[in-house]
Amino acid sequence: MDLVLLAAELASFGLQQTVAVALASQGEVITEKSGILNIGIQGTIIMAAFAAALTNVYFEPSMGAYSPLMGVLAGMAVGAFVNFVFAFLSTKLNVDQVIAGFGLQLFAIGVTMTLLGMHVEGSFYDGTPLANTIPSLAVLQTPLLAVPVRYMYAVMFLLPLLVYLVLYRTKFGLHIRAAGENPKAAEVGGVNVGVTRMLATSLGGVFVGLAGAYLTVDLNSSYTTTFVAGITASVGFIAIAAVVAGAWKPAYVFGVALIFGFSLALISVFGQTSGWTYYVLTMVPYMITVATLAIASKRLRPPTALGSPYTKE
Amino acid sequence: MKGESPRGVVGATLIAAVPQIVALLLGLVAASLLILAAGYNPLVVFGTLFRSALETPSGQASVLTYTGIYTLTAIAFLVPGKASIWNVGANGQVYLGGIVAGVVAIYLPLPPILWPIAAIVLACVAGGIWGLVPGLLEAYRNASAIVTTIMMNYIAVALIDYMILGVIVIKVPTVAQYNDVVISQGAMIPTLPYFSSSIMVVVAVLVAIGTLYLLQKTTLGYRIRATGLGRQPAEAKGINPRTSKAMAMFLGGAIAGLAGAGDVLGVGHSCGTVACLQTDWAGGWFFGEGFAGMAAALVAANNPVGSIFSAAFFAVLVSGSSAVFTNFSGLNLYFFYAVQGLIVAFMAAPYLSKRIIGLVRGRRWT
Repeated sequence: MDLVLLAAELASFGLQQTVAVALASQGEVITEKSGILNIGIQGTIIMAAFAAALTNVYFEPSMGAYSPLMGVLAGMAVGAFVNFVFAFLSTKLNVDQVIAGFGLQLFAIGVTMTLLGMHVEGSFYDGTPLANTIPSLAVLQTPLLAVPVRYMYAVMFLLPLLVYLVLYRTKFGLHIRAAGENPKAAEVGGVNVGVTRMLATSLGGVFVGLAGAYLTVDLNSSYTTTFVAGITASVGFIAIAAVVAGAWKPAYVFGVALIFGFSLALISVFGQTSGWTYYVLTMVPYMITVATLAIASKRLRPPTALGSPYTKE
Repeated sequence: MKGESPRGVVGATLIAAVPQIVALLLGLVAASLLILAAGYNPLVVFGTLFRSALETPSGQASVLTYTGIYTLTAIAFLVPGKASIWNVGANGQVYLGGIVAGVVAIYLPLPPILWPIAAIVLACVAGGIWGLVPGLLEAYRNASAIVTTIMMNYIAVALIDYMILGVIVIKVPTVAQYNDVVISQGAMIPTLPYFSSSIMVVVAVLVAIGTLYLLQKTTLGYRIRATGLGRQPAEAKGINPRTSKAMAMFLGGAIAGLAGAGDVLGVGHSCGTVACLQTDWAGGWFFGEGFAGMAAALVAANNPVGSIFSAAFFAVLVSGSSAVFTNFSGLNLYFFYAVQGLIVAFMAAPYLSKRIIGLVRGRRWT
């Protein structure tokens, strides 16, 4: 196989597969830094993806080519809302966050697929690709292959910087980290831990929702642009693994997301090969994830209060 | 509990079960709202669901089969749970057990009786190893089993797809596609009298009782429970929490593997072929056996014997749901997963249930 073509294909598919993991993992970094462990971001992604597709179709007649923009906004809003509900349950009702996270994921699958079955609106219910999607920013013409450059790539590369600035250069970021490390001390220092956690989780939800919107109004794992069953594949869980393996540091997490994203793309690049290689390639991303966690976890220190509810005394 | 009458013990158990029941009811209420949104009367829908599951022969067989499977996957979740390790990979462990049982049943002819037993034992070992890997990674490498067991699920799917589509379908001459693979009669496990469901439900009940005994009365059970108290308390009791965690995961995986073997080797829901392994992967979502078992374990507050009843409840829901989506267009199987997710979410909030119970008793919210 031609090496240049191979490199171009790998770059093209790799970046496409990385976007959702990268965006969702940055959102989860903010969430987890505040002490909330949302293991169910897969559920947030699914609902945001569905909302984005629905909104896109709804605004198609009135906004034409700009309807994907509304889809993206809807995805971000739904992401923020779902994560807010999760944070509310975690801070106000002291739910077990792991259980609630899986509940969220199951519910999200169930409710979106039930709504999909009701055929209330538009064409996307039967799997037809959306009429309007986000156009490419540019197309790089290599000798053998055109590599599209998407707007979301820019967002994906800039987001870790933004998350870093929020977490380490603002007062809000300081509050988030205090709530996640030592909520008691934070409360004494005048930080409202509950509110901070809810705000941080909702802000994280904006980016998790953006990942969901990317999957329907831009591209998804099966390279269709609409909401279909199984659309999120394993994005949410891989994003959570990236947060752990990236030691909760935005830049590292992005680096790990790139590795995971490119490993997910292997199947698209080499997938045509028949026989056992096809199946091995489908396993590789998950093996890499497990191996990364096995190597990295030993030395890592999560935010001290991660996953444990905080009650005022 | 000292000096209490048996009646007092039963009463205390019932009171302890109230938050669980409230969560179940909240889940059903929320489900009713979903049904209303779909434009149907919830009472009619649930009536159809329960009648189809409990009054038709196929419904009854399905309820029994799923009760067995969910009880086993509930135990696969709760045994590691007692050692405070999250086994959310029962799905993958079921697949591994199922495919190993299937391979033995297709390729390894043995005398009657011995054949299914060998298949089941190997299935348990396979499921156990699939659980042991994340168990060891958490115990010795600090890698959270929540994430690694999920990853092991995806690896298991690729593995069974390869075994079924890449090996069995190609190598067995009489097979054109995967659901043609019929397990030989000699390798099947016996069927219950009166119902067309395998004896796995009986096995599952026995396993549940055995698990209760194991956890409460044996050294291994004591080690597992002590590990659940935390690392320092366990070490203070002279227990190595690492080996107990790994053991608990092996046990959980082995029991899930048993569920997989029962799925493939027993009649029930269109099974008796390796094809049934793919039914709960259909559509590309993860749901089915693993998560239903987790929900059942949570509803039963991680009590193995209680899990039989909560498993039966979810078995009724899933068995009746096919009648729901044939009779009410717009509702589909996924509706059942929404209900299940809601129940799990409410289960996570015993605090909420306690508040509601307080409200019912006439206290104010806060």
